[in-house]
Amino acid sequence: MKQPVLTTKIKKWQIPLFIVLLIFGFVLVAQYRTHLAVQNNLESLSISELTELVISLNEREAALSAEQETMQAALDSINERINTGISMAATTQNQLNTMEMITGKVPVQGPGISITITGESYLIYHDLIMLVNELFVTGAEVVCINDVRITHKTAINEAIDEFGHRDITIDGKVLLLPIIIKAIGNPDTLEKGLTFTGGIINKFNTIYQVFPIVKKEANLIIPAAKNAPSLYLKSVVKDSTKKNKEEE
Amino acid sequence: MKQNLKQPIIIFTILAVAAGFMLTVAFNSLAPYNTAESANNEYKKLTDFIIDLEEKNAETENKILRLRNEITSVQNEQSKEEGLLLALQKKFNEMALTAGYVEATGAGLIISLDDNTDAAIVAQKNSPETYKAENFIIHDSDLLYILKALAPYTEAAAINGQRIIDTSHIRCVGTVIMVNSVRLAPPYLISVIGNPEALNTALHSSGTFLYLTEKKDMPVTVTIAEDIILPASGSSFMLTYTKAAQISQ
Repeated sequence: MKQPVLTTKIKKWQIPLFIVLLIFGFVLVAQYRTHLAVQNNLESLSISELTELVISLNEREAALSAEQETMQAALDSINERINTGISMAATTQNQLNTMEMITGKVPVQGPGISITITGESYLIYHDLIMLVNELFVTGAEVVCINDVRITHKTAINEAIDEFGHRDITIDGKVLLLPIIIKAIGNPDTLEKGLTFTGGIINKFNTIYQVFPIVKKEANLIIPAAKNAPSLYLKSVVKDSTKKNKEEE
Repeated sequence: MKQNLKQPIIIFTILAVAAGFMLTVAFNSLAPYNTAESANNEYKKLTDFIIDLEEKNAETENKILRLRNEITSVQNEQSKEEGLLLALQKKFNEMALTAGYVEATGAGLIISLDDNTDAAIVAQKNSPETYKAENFIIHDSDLLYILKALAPYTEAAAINGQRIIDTSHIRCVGTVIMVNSVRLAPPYLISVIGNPEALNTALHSSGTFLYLTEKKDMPVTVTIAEDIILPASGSSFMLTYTKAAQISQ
C-alpha cells in the first residue's frame, strides 16, 4: 500500500527540481560567458583606462599621419625626378642613410635622457626589460645600456655566478655597475614617462629602494649595434636587383 | 509526510540561494558599465571614438604600406638602369628586411599562448570568493619576457600579425594587451623566424615559459614551421630626434 504513495510524492518534486537545475546550469554558463565577453572587450575597461587607450591611439595616429605624409612626399619627389630625368640615386641614398640609423648599422646621436643606476641593487633583468619597454612606450627612438645598443635581437637575461649571485647580462655579457641607460627622443616626454607617480622609477624607489638618476641630455651618442647576420630570413617579394643580375 | 517534504525544500532553498548569489555576482560585474552608460553617454562616446580611431589607424597603416610598396617598386624599376642605384637599392632592401620595413619569410617557431578559460570556469565555480581573473590570463609581461628569451636567435618576429621592430613596445590597459599600440586578443601567436632548434631550446629554458606551462597550466602549443610569413610593420620608421653621429676621428 505505501509504495505507490511514495512514488507519487517523489515525482512531484523531481520535475520542479529538474527545471530549477536546468535554469541554474543556464545561469552558470550565461554568467561565465558574460564575464568572459566583458573581460575581452572595451566595456571591461574603466573611463580612465579608455582615456589612456585614446591617448595611446592618438599618439599612434599622429605618428602614422606624419609617416604617411613623408612617404607621399618621397613618392612625389621620386616621380618628379623621374619625370624630369634626374637620377634617383640621391633619394635612395637618403633612405639608405635613415635605414642604417634605424637598424643600428651606424652610431647615432641626438637629445634624450640618461638613467644612471649606481651601487648594489636588487633589480633583476625583468626590471631592465620593463624599463627599456617603457622607454619605447614613451617614444624613445634609440636606446642603449652601457653602450650596447638595444634592438629586438638584444638578449637581456641573467647569469648565476659560482657564489650563486645573479648578474644581469646583455647579449651574454655581465652588466657592470654603474648601469647607464641612454635614450634618444623628446627629453621632456621621456623624463615624464618614467618619473610620474606610479611610474617605473617610482616602482624602483618604493619596491627595490633603488634611486636611478634621470637626467635630460642635449646630445647623447649611441654606438652601432652588433647584430649577427640573418641566416634564415628571406624576403617575400623577390628582390628585383637580384633578378636584374640574374638576367644579366 | 512532513519528512518527505523537508528534503526537496532544503534542496530548493540551497539552489535558490546559490542562483541568487550568482545573479548578484553577474549583475555586479556588469554594474559599472550599466551605471556609467545610463549616467551619461561618455562611455559609449569613448568606446565609439576608440573603434573609429583604430579603424582610421588601420587604414593609414594600409596606405603607408601601399606607398612603401609603390616607392620600392618604382625604385627597383629605376635601378635596372643605374649601376649605383642598383647597389644602393640592394643594400636598402637587405636592411629593410631586418628592420621589419617589408614582409619576411623563413623557418622558425610559432608559439600559441592562450588564457586558461577551462581552469577559470572551475575556479570561479568552486571558489567564487577567491577567484581572480588575472590568474588565468596571459599578461603583457609574459609576451615581453618570452620575446626577450628568444632574442639571441630571433631574426624577425611578430605577435598576432604585429611585426616586432627595434622600437616595439608591449603594454596592457586593463585586461587588454597592446603591441605597438594595437589592441590584440587571445590566443597570442608569437611567430619567430630564426634557427628553429635554437629557438625551441631557448624557449624551453625560459623561466616565463616554464612558469606558464608547468605552474599555471596555460594552454600553450609550440610548432616548428618551415615557411613562416611575417607582415611588414605598420609602425612609423621616421626618426625625429636621431641623427647620424658625427664622431671625430
